[in-house]
Amino acid sequence: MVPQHLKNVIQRINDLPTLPRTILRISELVNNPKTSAKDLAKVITDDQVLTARLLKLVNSSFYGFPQKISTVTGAIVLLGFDAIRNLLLTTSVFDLFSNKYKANKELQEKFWDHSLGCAIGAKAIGGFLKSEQVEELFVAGLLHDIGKIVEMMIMPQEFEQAVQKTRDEPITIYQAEEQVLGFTHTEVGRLLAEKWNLPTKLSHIIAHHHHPIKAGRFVDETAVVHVADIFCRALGLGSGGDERMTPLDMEVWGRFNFSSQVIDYLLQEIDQTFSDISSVLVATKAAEHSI
Amino acid sequence: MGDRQVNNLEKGYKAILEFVDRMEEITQLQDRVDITSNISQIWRVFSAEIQNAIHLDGCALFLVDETSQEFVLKHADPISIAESVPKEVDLQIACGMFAWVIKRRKPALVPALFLKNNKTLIMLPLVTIRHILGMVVVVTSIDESLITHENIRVLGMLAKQCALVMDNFLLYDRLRKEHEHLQRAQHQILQAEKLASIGRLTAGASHEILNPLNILSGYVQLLQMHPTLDDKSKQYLDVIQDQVERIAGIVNSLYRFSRPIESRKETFSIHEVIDRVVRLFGHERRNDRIQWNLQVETDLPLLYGNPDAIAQVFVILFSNARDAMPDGGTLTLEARFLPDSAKPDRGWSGLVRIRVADTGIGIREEDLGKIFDPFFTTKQHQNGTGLGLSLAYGILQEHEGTIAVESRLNEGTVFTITLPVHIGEVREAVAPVLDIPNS
Repeated sequence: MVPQHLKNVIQRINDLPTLPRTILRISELVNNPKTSAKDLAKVITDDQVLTARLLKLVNSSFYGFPQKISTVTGAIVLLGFDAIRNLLLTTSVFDLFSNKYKANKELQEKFWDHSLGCAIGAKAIGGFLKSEQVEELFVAGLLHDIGKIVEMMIMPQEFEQAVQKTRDEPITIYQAEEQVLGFTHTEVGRLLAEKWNLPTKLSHIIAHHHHPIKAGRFVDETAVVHVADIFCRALGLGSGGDERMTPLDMEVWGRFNFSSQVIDYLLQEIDQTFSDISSVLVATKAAEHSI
Repeated sequence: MGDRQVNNLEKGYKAILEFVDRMEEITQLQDRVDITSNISQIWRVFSAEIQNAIHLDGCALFLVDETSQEFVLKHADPISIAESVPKEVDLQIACGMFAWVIKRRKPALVPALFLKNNKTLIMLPLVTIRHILGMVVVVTSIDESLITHENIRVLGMLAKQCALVMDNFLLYDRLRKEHEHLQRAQHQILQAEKLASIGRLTAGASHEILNPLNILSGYVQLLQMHPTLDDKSKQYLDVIQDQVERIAGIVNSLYRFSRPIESRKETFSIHEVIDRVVRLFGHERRNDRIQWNLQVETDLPLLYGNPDAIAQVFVILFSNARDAMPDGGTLTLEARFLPDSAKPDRGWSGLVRIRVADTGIGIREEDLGKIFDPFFTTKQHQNGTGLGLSLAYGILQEHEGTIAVESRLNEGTVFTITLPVHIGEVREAVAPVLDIPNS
């Protein structure tokens, strides 16, 4: 059941580019338990651009692998199926949205900075909690506000209005969206995630990152992204559209029970990694353009 | 709906059922793991399960050693891979692969470096939120690109379960050991408390007894000098005098036991002390049936303390040994310097360890815990006071030393004493020549 007020959005989401077929096929394969690395590698290597990008990314410092990985099969078996899927998904999402829509260029860049910060934050918190899914948390952090990007693209004026409202009134972007658009980026994000067949976990995190308790069995992962979001705002990394702190869910915060030393450590870690990675990303982008 | 679609649906349905079956099997692990009581048993359960999950050449369990922090091979199934797999693992550690997998906390497929014929390793890190326990290394001939997502997931789940069970076991085991340690410490404190309170009590009482005893003894002596005494009365008075002296002897040793040992301390030669006591004993007739076996290192370091008190310890131990060998036997005395057990933080450069062993009747196991208790004696009929070993215990404590006992019924008893050597005490250059009686 789709609420009435979102019908309009759905119509326009359908106009948005779809994920490449290869990515959808890869998602399908990863969901099938009988898939082997060979099956997956065959689909990836059919796409040369994807292959080149995959090898570049798996050899980046993000995975910190001690040797060079030179084949797609090698990358798949070493990192695992889920990791490969997430990695290709992320780059494709980036592709879809960068460069194609020129409106709100500056806001978009700040927005991606916020997303990257949140991804790093989610990874840092996950790492501190010894979670096995730091890579998934990274992707979740990166995509948690994807709904805002959609809004920027399909209704740039309205979104700009909402942003303006947060400057004039003491409200967050979340509240402004409700007032101006009648829905929020979490709902839009969820629609997109479903349209793109993203893993259920991701669509839950996107939908509930402001109220993690509602995320059902994914409440832990959602809570990490929720806190990472707030840490990034505290650090002033990028912008989520408004310059305000989203309210911290106390029930979620209570689950973590971080001491002030831990908070200091995490904030420092996030800040440091952010400046490291964003410089690397800028360099990578430049290199990619020069190819 | 086309036939192909129906077919696909049926296939998918079957695959799901298969997977559910697998999961069910894995949950049944719990029952089998529940009855395990050590790491080997836990491993046996998981090893069997891993072999069920995938076709393999072998699998090995590596655990992180607590002290060296290195990965140590604990089990290899089959045992034939126990030689090659550690070499493989060494190479994987050297190239950073091991650390990477552990840090990532996820299973990884790795081409083998040492093992030939294109073997694939499946590394399953054993980690919990609290600890890094080790790694399971599965060796298989299946090409790495043909291992399915399902294989890896099942193995990953098994490794996770295995890590949890092992971690729980290790935590429980550590707790149990700590508990035992605490219990022993508590027992020792109780023992010390008991000794202390008895000491306070007897110090006062023995003084009170000695006074009237002296008066008693004086009057008996006066009576003995009386000219009109008949033989019988004289005989009775002699018995009284003997028994009074015995009481005085018991009370005196009680007093000595309870009173803090005189803190007259000096640097002394343990060699001389041993020499003196052995000579004293050798001269007594009733010790004729003892064979002496003296193994005293010639260059023992000098000790610091009260040589008379230490001599008393030897008298007590030798007397006990003699009483334990009514038909004769061998009394071995061995004294060695152990520099390795030094505790520089306490100003020690090592220990002198002295062992006094007899070949006598031994001590019953139920009595072993009580022999250092005051008034505990097995020699009621031989005028034992039950104070000798308590006294020895007290003297050694005063010297920061220890005394321990081992015994086998009808085989003999060994007392082991240690005394600290203080830093700066030199070794004796020339040992006094021991005069060994009847040897």
